[in-house]
Amino acid sequence: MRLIHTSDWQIGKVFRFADDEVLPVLQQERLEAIGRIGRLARAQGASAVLVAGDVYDHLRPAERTLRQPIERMRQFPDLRWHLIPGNHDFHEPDGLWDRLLGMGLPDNVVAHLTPEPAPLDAAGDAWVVPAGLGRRHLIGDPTAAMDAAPTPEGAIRVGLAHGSVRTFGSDDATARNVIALERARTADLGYLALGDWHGALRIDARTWYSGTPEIDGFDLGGAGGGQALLVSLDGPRAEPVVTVHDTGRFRWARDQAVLTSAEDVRGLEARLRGIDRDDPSRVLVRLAVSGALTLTDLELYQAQVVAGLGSALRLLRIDGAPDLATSPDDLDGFGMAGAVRAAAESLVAQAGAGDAQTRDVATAALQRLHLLARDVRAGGGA
Amino acid sequence: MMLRGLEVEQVRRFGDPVRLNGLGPGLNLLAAPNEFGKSTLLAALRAVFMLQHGSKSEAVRSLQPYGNSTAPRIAADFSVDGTDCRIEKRFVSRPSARLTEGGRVLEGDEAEERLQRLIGLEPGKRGTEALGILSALWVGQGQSLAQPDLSDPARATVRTCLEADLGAMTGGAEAERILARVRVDLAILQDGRGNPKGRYRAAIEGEAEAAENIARLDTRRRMLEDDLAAMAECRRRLAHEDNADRRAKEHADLAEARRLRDRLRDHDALYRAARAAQAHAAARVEAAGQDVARRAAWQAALDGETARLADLADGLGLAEARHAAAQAAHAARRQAVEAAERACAAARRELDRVEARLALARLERERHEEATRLDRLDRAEAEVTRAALRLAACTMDDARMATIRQADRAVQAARAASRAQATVLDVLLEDGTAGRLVLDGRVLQSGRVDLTDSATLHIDGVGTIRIEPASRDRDRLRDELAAAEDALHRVLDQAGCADPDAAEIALAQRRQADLALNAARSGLAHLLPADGPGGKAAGGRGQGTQDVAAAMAEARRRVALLDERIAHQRAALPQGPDRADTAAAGPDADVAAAHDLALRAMQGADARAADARQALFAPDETLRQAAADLARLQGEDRSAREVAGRLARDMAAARAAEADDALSARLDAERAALAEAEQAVRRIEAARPDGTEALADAAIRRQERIIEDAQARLGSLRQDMAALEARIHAAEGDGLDERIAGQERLREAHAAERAACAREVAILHCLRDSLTTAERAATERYLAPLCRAVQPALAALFPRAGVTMEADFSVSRLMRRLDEPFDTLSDGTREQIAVLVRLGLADLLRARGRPAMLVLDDALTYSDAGRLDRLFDILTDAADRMQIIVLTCRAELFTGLGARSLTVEAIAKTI
Repeated sequence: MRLIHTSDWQIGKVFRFADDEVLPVLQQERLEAIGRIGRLARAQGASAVLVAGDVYDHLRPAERTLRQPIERMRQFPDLRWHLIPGNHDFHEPDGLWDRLLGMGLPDNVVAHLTPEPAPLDAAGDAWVVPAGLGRRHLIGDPTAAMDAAPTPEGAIRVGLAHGSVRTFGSDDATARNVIALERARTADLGYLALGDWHGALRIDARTWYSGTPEIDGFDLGGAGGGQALLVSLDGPRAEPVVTVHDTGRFRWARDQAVLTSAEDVRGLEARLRGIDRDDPSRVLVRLAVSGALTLTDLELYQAQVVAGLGSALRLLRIDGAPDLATSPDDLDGFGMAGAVRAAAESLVAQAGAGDAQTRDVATAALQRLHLLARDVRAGGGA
Repeated sequence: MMLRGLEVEQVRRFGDPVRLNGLGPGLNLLAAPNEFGKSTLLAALRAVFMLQHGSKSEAVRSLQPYGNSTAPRIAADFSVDGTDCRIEKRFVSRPSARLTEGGRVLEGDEAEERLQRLIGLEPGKRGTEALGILSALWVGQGQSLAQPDLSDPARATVRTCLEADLGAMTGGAEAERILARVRVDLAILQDGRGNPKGRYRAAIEGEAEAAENIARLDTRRRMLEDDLAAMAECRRRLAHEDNADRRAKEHADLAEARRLRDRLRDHDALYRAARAAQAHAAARVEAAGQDVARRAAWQAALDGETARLADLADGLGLAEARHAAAQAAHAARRQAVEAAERACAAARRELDRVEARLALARLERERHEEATRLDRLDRAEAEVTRAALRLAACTMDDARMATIRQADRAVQAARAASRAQATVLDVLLEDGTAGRLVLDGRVLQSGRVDLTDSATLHIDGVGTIRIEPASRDRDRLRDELAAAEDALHRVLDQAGCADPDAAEIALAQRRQADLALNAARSGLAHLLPADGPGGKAAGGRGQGTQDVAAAMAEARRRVALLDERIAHQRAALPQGPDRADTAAAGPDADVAAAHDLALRAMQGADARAADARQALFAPDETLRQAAADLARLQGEDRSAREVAGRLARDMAAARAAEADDALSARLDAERAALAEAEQAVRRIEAARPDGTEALADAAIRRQERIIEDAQARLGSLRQDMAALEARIHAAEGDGLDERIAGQERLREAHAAERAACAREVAILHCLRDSLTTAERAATERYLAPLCRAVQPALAALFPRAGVTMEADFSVSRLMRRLDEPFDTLSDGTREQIAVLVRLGLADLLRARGRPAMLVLDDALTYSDAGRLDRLFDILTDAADRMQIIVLTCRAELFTGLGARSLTVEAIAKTI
């Protein structure tokens, strides 16, 4: 049999760095990913979709947010969608899962809120052994009960869980939601579908993280995310065949540049445009900039990178700014003498001394003076 | 530049054409009274150089004559850089302009343009004056107080002059334009007070609003979490309460408690019945026992009564004998008492009689004493009367005696005075000459004779010697002596005495009589009762007479009273001769003895009578006791007989009803029945269930309440849960977490925007400050020449003073001893500085080859004479370099100026 393994949809996620224009697009795309997953399943002949937790980003989403993914899944009546609560949307009494049950889930959507195994498909050849979270942080292994979970003889056991397989520096006693690496073996699972990590990751032949279907952060960049897994299981003992399929639309990139010349600026621009030459609007970039530029090159940087790329890309987030590298030519641009030249010299001095903020402000002021002086000389005086 | 002539026609008060004559280089003065038209001439000057001929502005129309709409016409002759020029303009109707420059003539706008270039002006806004430095140098009336307000072109002109001087671009204008742009940009983010505005303010407010929303949503989320926790608790409690097993057990417990109570009630009824049967049997045993006992008691009582009756019969006999004896003894004592009382009465009568005699005798004695006292009083009073008469007969008293003595002393004094003045005759008679000397008829013996008056001495055989004493006051002394002797004789006569010695004797007699009267009075006073009216001590002469009379009357009244009492006593005296009667005639001792005798007899009789009465009492008590004993015994006997009778009757009746044997058998049967009933009670007691009915009831009530409470709690829990559920649904439906995340995003966005705005403001501030500083530095540099231009004149006016000039070429401070802002200076000083600044500017222009010329209209009016003189010097000095025209209405003030005098003269026609 074939199934699709996905997780961490995190519907309703709010991207704080996004402005009012970008945010709804990013949120909408996470919903669209559900349709892409459904179509992938149909195309690959999978009958079931396992969502390994964190369907929602918030424990208390708005009514519309709550219903939206359900309505997307409803559009695939031929698929059976198996959901478990993750750490973002854990099952608290009277919480969102009770709300969902209260409003009535479509027949093809199954919420596994207790550890009881359930048939994976209509035929009953495979069974889901779920381990959803009842609270955000569970001390111990949420999958511990899988070993003893009863399923019919000869059925393929597919584990569905949310958590980490690694503790991060703390000892095991306080580890939370940590899943035993050998759980697939100890619980006699044909496949263990995991959620929580946002990049697709193979733990072993039977244990995989699917990652999130639409990337939601710069950190993972190209290392994962934006994918779903197609899992083929030929029998209870057979090793699963797992293939990775793209489901994401947006490309998130993190870059950094040290700018010292006009060439650097132009090279940076070319590099960022090269991420998706066909459709830069699919690209979100977080850029760390440092270095020092002359006034002219700063102007180039402002025009090409900040203004140009800033408009071309879906989102360009820049941390830092190039410093001002003053040259005699720059100062001569303000005239050989006179009040403006004197002011420029004073600003150059400020830009080269004092704390970072003073330098930054003085640099920006000098740039501004440069522009204004040019404007004024061109007859654009006040 | 130099003005050579000005012609006006149809300009305000100047209807007909006139010309300002006499203009030349250096100082020019037009001194004329008010309303002469000086200001009009200045206005015409400004108009012809600075107003476009085609202008229809108010400035142009104001040139028209009052109430007239004719066309003002103005012409000016002037020279620039040595070239003679003439400008002619006609305004309002058919306006025209014509400039003659050397041989060249320009018309209309061409003329205007050329004119402006010539004198360095720029066109102003439509209809207003052209702009340039001249405008500031031609000062109208009332403007001289302010410093020149330089228009942009004027500033540019000055600046150009200065920069040319420096030989470098200052960039001041450029910096200023950039600064203006910076200020515009800054004004988008900050208001005048430096507070954020626009998007900066919106960001701050947005951030605050988002934070507020987050706080509000957080509160709601906490409430939701509380509600969820409460809901979980409710569910737990509901599961606990709504437990079927528990409820079944509670109901079973209730049924069991009720069963127990029923058992307790049944047992209680049985027990009460058995106890009743037992009590009944016991009562019956007791009744039979009582019957037996009663019969035995009756028998015993009967026996007792019989024995008692026998005892009573003995006692009765004895008591009767005692009673009779007591009665006899009582009668005998009564007789003895009667006898003693009779004897006692007789003794009392005797005593009474003796006492009556004694009283009579005492009364008679009292009467005798009273009579004697009355007699003595009588005699003493007669003695007092006699002594008073004797005293009254005395004519002499102390006062009179004093008068006599005084008169006598006066006579003696008069005589002594007379003798002191007298002529002394010392006579020594020889033997045998006695009787031969006769003075005033009196024979002189040997001795001394005082002659106080004229005297005649006759010497027998010799003759007569008339002696006239040389006393000056002789007559007066003689009169005084005679008067004194008269006075003595008068008082002696009044006293009835022949001479002072007799008077002394009479006074001694009087004292004697007085003493005698006092002695008699004293005797009488001693006879008066001490407690009488007035008393002895207070007895005066007048009062004493009354007292005496009253005392005598009282004594007589008492004698009479005693007489009456004696008679009464005698009448009351028992008649008949007895021992007392005889004794009455005898001495008092006998009477007293008789009285003692009678008294003792009386006391003896009394004592005997008391003894007899005492004796009577005691036997009386014995008798009463005997009688009571007898009565009691008789009563007891009677009742004993009745009791015995009744007992015998009862006994007989009882035995007739039930024989003694039958009674005994009944008692035994009843006892057996009682034993059986007691056993039955014990059996039932042993079978009693545990607990009491009250406890069983309490257990039932408690169980019932548990069941009821559980139901109530269930109901309340379900209600609470329904409410919680509604609240939770509402809160969850709002999507609190999502909204909080959204608000946090907003807050961060606003914060970023705020930071960006703050950075922008900081950048603009930085730029502004840098530019301002740079501009100031540059300005200071190029202002130096202007300061230098102004400085000499300033030093002349204000020694050791300096000025601070601003970028707009105004003076902001005057630095003397103190640093004084321009605005705080006096009117005079401000005006003087304003004139100096204009001079400086004009100097600067002239030195750079620019047209420069100064017009002062009614200026320097605030200056004192000293400063005015120095100003004249300064103006005179400046006039060497430029033309200066002064218009004033105060000719006398400006005579010291030494200026060229201007006149206004009519001409044929201007244009």
